[in-house]
Amino acid sequence: MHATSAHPFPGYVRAAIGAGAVAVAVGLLVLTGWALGEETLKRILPGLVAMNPLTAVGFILAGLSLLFGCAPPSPVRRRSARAAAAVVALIGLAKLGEHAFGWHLGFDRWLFRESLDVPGLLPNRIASTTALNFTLLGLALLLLDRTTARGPRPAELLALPVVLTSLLALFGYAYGVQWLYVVPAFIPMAVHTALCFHLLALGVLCARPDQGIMAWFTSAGAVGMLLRWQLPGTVTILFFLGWLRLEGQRRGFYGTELGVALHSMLNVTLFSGLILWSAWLLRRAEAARRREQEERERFFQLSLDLLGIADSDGRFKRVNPAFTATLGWSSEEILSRSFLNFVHPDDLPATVAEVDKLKGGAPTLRFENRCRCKDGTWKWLAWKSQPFPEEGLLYATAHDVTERKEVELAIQRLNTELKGRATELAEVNRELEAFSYSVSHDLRAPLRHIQGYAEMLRTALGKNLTEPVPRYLTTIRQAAEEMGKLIDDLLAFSRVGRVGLQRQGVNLGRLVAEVRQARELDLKDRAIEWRIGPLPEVEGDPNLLRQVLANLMDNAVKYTRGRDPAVIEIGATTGADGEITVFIRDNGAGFDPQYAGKLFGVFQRLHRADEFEGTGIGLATVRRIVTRHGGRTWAEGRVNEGAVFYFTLPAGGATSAAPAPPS
Amino acid sequence: MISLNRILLVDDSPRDREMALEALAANNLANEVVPLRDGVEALDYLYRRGEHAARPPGNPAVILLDLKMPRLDGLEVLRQVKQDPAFRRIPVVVMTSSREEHDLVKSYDLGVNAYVVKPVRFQEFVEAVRQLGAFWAVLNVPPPDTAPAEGSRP
Repeated sequence: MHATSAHPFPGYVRAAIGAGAVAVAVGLLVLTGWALGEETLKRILPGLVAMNPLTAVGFILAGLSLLFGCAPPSPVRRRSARAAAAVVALIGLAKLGEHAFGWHLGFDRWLFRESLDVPGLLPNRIASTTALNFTLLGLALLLLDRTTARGPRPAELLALPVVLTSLLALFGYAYGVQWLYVVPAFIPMAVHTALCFHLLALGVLCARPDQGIMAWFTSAGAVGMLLRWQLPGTVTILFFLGWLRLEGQRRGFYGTELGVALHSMLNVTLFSGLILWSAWLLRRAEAARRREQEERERFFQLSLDLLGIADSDGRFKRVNPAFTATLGWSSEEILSRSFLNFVHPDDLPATVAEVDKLKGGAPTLRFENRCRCKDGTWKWLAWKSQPFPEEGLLYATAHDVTERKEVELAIQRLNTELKGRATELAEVNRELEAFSYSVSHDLRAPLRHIQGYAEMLRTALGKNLTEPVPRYLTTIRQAAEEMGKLIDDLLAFSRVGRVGLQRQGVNLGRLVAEVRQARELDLKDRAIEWRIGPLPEVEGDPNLLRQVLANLMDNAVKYTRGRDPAVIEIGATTGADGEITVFIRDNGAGFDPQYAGKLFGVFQRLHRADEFEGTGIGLATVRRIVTRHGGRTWAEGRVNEGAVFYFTLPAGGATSAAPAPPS
Repeated sequence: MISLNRILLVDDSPRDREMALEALAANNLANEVVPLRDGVEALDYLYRRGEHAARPPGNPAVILLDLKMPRLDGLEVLRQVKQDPAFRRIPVVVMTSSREEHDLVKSYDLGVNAYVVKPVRFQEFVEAVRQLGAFWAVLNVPPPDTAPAEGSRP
């Protein structure tokens, strides 16, 4: 029976279980009384009617049925409860049949037949009211779980007469009115019979406290409170007042007239008090409700969001001030026509579809459209709506999202523009590619022709040339060669900007070795002391990084011309943040530090062409490649004291410092 | 006696053609060199149509092909030559100013036999042409369907 703890109203169910248990106990005691011949158990007080043994059996069965009905549901319990209830109802019906149609079944005299009748009293039989009550109670227990859409349940309707008739018998015993518990010509209802009926009927009511009329009792608020307190209280007090009036008159304190007057006066006082109490409860409930209503109303008025109630055609019946404040229309203007009239023509089909969906009962979780303001502008509203089809209403809230929408549209516009720009840029890049291709092809061809024809001219003129003709021819050739170099450098420079990086692990030491190997033949006449420290493995484009090292090493070689020996040092350091700094130091011509900033610019040269040849593109290419790798470039130097060129590569690409291959 | 096959020299630039002819002559190469001015003329020659309808039969020993030419460029000529069963065995050497990766990849994809970037220095240019001529026209054994030209010199 403890499993009722999960029930929302455990107290009521516990009371029902108590009633069932009492009925079973009383039944068992009475049967014991019959078995042992103990009169107190049978009739409580001498002279009162004894409970029929079959009645005791009926109470045991009814009590068990109620106990099973209150236990956690299971098929076995449900079947047992119904079977017990059915037997109870059959006992009642059979006995009613005897009374009504004069059958002589006599089954209420099977048990303890020999001791049933006491000389001088009527034969002990089941009273017709008892039979009726068993019938009603049995049916009520059978139909315990039958519910109805609203109003009382069948079990409640059946239990109520049992409550009243048993109460009537109890009143009779209490007031000493035999007629009330003795149906003329039959034997009366025993006092504990009446009590058991009363308890069982109340138990039936309490067994399902959340259904039917009982839900009114258990409801929170004024109604539940009125019923829970005033109904039992009124019954108890009226019972007591009636008894008091009778008792006083019996003892001769007052006559009938005075008794009635006093009784009426007390009743008037009691009912007046109850009515006042009810009024007070109702007032309090009303005040609470009004306060809640006011709270809602104030929020309704206060809301920044648009709140409204519309009929199913989209015409608003009520709108809050945010509606008028946001859109600028007066509430009369908004209420006077369907809201579809305010919707932007482009959003109308979608809105109509949404309203149709709402009519079908589906709520709108989010829907956006534009609505016309009185000043002719449009506002974006984000709607959330809930339809209540049975009332023909829909509740709608809307949020003004105009700003966000405009920002979104602006972003969209910018994105489109940006996409256009990107396409343009790609187009420009393609054109540049084509341009570079033409340059590489078309600019080289005339150079080749200049050189070719100069040589052919030299051949055609024969061996016996006198100065300055050979020198002129040589100069023509050299100038063409320089221009060829310039074209190559410029193409390489522009390619660095256009071609994507092919990142991979690169061993800088190996790159340095490769560059040195490629220059070996050209440098066989130079005395160069290479000092190459350990160089790390980095992440980057190997071809581009090789170009960086080649340009810097070629520079160092070029500007140390005339040094004996030329010393070129290459090394790397790793910073705390993992950034790698590579340096190339030479003991060559150096440069004036105040021009250090110009070194890496395109066509920027710090030496005259007759000192050191060059195109002024090599270092610009270095800077471009390093920048594309996310690094920096700079240089230190003094005139005639050598120079140091630095470049960095950011952390992340770098792994571990690998020793340079042996030179 | 060695029968010498013709060398086709396809280049739109008259100067380049003259320089190439000069270089070939300087190397005493005995093969007949047929200078052609663009891709259309090159195909006309191979298919013996237009002004070359009357040319002697037989395929050349090698085609020296410039890439960037008006009307029909070298890559297109290469594609058509390598697609035609009658010509696809003729060795084709691209001789161009372009080092562009795109041209290299495309040429090899189309089945070019060699790719030479014209050196800017004339001496190197002469040397390159000499080597090409010596290799493709003399050393290299041509495919069997390359019939000796009627006008070939001993």
